[in-house]
Amino acid sequence: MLTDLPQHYHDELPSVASGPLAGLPRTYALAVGLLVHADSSLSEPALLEYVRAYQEVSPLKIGEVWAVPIMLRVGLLENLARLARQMRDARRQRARAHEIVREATAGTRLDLPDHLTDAFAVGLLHALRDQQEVKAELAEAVQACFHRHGVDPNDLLRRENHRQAANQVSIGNAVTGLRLLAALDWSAFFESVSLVERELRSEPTGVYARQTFATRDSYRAAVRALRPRLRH
Amino acid sequence: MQQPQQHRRSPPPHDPLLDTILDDDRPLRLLGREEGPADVARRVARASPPCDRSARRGLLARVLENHQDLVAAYKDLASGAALGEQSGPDAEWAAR
Repeated sequence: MLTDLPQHYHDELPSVASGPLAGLPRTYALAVGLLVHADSSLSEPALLEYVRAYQEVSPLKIGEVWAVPIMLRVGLLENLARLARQMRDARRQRARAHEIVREATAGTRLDLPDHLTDAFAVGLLHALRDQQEVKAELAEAVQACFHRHGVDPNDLLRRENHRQAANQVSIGNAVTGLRLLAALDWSAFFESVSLVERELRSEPTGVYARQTFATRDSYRAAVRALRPRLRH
Repeated sequence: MQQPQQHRRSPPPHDPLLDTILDDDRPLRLLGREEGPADVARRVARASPPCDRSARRGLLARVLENHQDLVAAYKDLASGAALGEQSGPDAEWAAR
């Protein structure tokens, strides 16, 4: 990915001027907006519709259109990393809950944190379930803790199962999305959404459109060379 | 002495989609919305006006950080699965 997005290319991408996304590359905001909306589930028709609609409000530069697949890949990996961090965190909390219950079963005072997260609370329930002989006072202490925090064990388990199932879908979508990005014809994508390309194709003789991709690309490179340089 | 008037820019309207992007602790998804991709695209475009300044370089560092986190999570979950640890359906990818 760093090969696809070298520093000099990254430096050419305009950033968002203001608002909550200020400072981010504009194409990154564009890509991530679609991923959030579609839960990382990508399709070529939706992508074409999305980029065309974006440009009704704010036209993209030539380099930005080429950056769309790279930014989608960055966004999909961002999502996978967020999901992975959440999974690692939940795993740590479940392990901590098991440890606390094991220590309490061995006679140490039950020491529950002030703030209960879903993963930790589910870990407590599973740890109690896994104990061969649960001391009555231990089970009561956990129940009291749940009551104090307003946690209904059934709601909690439903919520945690739902979160895991939703994450499983997101992971599947992101992996499928990465495969789609590798399979799409990005040259065709570029030529069907680029507004510069649309202008060039509208020349009355029709010669431009009949030339090879490489020749058309040299025309676009000439247009690109006219752009004002960005400030760093 | 008269104090200079401060022109405060009003905060942008609250948008759950943008909140999701900015909150690193949340997956990039927002379920239960009825809008089509074109409506979302226009909304994102309005929220991301361009400027002639290049993007900040933090994105490349973020790519590396994400890569490291993914590798670490895979190692964690796979080693747990190898020890017979029960995991949720979201961790299936690491248990295979």
